[in-house]
Amino acid sequence: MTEYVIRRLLYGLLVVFLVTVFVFLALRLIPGDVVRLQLADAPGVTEEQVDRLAAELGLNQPLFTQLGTFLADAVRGDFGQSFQDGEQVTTLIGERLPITLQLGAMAVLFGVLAGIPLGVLSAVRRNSWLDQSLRLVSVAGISIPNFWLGLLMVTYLALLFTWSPPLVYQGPTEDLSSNLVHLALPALALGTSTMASIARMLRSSLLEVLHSNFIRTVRAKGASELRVIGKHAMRNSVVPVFSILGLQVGHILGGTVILESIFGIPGMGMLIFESVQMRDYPVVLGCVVVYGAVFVLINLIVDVCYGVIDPRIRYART
Amino acid sequence: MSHRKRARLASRTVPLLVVGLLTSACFSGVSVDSEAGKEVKQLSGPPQPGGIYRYAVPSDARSLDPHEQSSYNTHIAIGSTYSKLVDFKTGPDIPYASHELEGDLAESWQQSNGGARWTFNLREGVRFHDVPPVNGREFTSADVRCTMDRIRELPGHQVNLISTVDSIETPDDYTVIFNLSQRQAEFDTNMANHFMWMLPCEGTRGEFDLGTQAIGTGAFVLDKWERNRERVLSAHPNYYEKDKPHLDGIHVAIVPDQGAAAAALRTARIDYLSTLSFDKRMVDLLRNQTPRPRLAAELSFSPVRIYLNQEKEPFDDLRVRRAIALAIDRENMLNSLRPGGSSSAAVTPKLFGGLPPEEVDRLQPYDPRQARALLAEAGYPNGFSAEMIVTDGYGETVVREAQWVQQDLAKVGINVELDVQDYATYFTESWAKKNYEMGFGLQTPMLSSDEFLSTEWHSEGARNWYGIADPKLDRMIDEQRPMLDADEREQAIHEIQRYIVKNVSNPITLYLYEQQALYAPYTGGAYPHPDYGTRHLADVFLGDEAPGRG
Repeated sequence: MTEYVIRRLLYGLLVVFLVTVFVFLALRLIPGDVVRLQLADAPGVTEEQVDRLAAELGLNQPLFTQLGTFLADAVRGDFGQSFQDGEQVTTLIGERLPITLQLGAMAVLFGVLAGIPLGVLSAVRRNSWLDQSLRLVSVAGISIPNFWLGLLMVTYLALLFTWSPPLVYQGPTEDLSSNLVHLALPALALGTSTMASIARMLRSSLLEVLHSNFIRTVRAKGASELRVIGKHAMRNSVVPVFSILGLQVGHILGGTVILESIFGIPGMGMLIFESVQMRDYPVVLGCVVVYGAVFVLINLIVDVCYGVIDPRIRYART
Repeated sequence: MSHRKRARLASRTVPLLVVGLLTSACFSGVSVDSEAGKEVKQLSGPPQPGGIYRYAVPSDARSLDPHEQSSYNTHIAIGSTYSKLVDFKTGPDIPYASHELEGDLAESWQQSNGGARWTFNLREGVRFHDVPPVNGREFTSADVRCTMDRIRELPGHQVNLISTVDSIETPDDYTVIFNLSQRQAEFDTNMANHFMWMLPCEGTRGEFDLGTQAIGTGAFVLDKWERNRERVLSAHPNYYEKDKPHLDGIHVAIVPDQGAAAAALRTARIDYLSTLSFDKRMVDLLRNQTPRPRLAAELSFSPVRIYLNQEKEPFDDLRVRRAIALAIDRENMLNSLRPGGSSSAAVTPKLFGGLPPEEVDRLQPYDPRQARALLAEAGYPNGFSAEMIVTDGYGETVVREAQWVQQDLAKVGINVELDVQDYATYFTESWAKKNYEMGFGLQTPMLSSDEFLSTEWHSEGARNWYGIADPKLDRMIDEQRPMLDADEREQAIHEIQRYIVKNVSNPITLYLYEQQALYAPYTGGAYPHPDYGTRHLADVFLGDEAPGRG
């Protein structure tokens, strides 16, 4: 088990490294001069001032020297300073990451709490009107972009119930109820796709298990339907759901970039959005490294959980 | 019907019903209240003291330093915190965007030596905000000198505004004298520009960070600024105008998404919303809510323009530029894509020296036949192809306007390919570096005719990103600046604009559009000015039913 975890961690580091290099190069390919953007609000500047700022930001160095410097610093946990306001990227991430993690956790929680019952209902009422309706909801949930869903929620809650989420974000220690109310809608929008994916996956895996011989045996022994599903069928159907959950984390993290901006949540997503617009390379890179690491780590945890749920899986042999 | 048939029917119809419900939820309109069409008036006085005025802005300032940042976001953020020597008049009896001046920190001012010496007499007893390290001390002429010295040390447009200042005298605490190197008719208007916020010497000496703190003499004290989140301001208890501001404070939320901001107005979480990025339909939808907000529609100072790179063929040919100007159906474009507006030449018509819109229409008619003739004369009887840059950073409407221009130009044989760029690329790579053939977009609103003419059309202008180099035009622009006789100067500025239309035809101003804002019905005293300031907030007050009083 330990060997497996170490090996997966090393693979994870390789993934994060490759993603970092890719994003570093991709950022440089986007048109837009970061130095002139910094000076855009102070027109009348001379070419000497432009050159001086480029040198200060290290942008006059060859591309691969810049990449090497960034990687060497990143290994030491230093992602540099924001081009925009000179703040340490690690400080910015430290302030923003907990907000995004809370939003992501709420989205996952909603996805799981809603997706599992829907999946079970669909499976046990197979081909009924309820199953057909839930299928429609699931397909819609997977297909509708989460930012559009967020916008619909904001607009129609205001129109129909004259209610809108708070405008200014409050941390959980500042005002817990305002914090939860503020994050509820984006968490619903983000978690809808997770809910739908879980419901679809659980339905098919549950149907497969419900038709297996051991379930027939359990039923023959006189177990109640609740016990058949809850104790025997669910445990054997839930492994694919965990796989979906791991992949959905990437979807949720990606979704925060737009949804945090829509709902005015000062998390990592909004930080990435603003930083890409301002070509703030160190911040974008720092955020991407952290997002990559979170994704790799969560998928590792999911894989480890397989063994807990289904002891037949032996990591040491894989 | 058997149970099985019923179940089958249900399994087919229920999902369809769900689809129907979802679709209607997504695409249905909003019921319009019976009061639709009735104009909502601004709350009448007398002004009631108290309450918190709440509004949302889509983006925040990067810094609060007015001399390092020229952006709208910065100057709006500090606009009610600092004061200027003089400012533009606003109020119920003053036309919107009036260029009439009134004293702000200066009680009176006068020019002498034929406009080469300007004396400003400062108000006595004006207090800064009681925030360390300034601690509510009195504002004096020394602060004016500190501010002017700092302006001259830093690069930026503000340097141009005082470029003629030779020396500054401060004979006592309440008198400031500017000695100019040449006569300047609009020097006082320059001092009303939003770059001319008066800073305390403690700030210019670096005793506090002007980038993150704003300690001024304005009507509101900046209590808290959390970048990209909110600004919290409270009333300045020692503001120089007695009984003002009426409000207890202002809360500004940063809401990047305009849909969320619109929802906030609907649900009375905010009292004011600028509808800059909304289309006409969305504004109508918001106006029909209950309680109905008040729509304020005023002419924007941001000209909508086509601009051409004269350093590239075929735009170096005046006939081609003139043909493009004649090929655009401005009137239909404006009425179709904007809520309304006005024609404009180089200088905005509401500014001193602006050409009357009727004359602009006569000078630049929609005449595709003449446009084709000019193209043929220039050697392009079958037209030509070109690329036009535009950005979606100004909102979707600007892109639609560019598409309109594309279609009008196609009718005279000019095939335009649109290159929609993100704002960063558009501004830094294309426009300011002259990496374009044709461009379409908005220009920053400027506050005097001289600012428009000298920065964009003068060969040495800081915003001349078009390759305009016309010695006669340079001379005309330089000559109007010292004219003290208002009529003579106005005629000279009119003549310059006629010259630009006929002999430069670049950038081609299409029109100014109406800028809209929505106010909650319980607000009063809101008479803004299109400059980058918010001094008018000192006059704003809230009615009894305002949630900000709760």
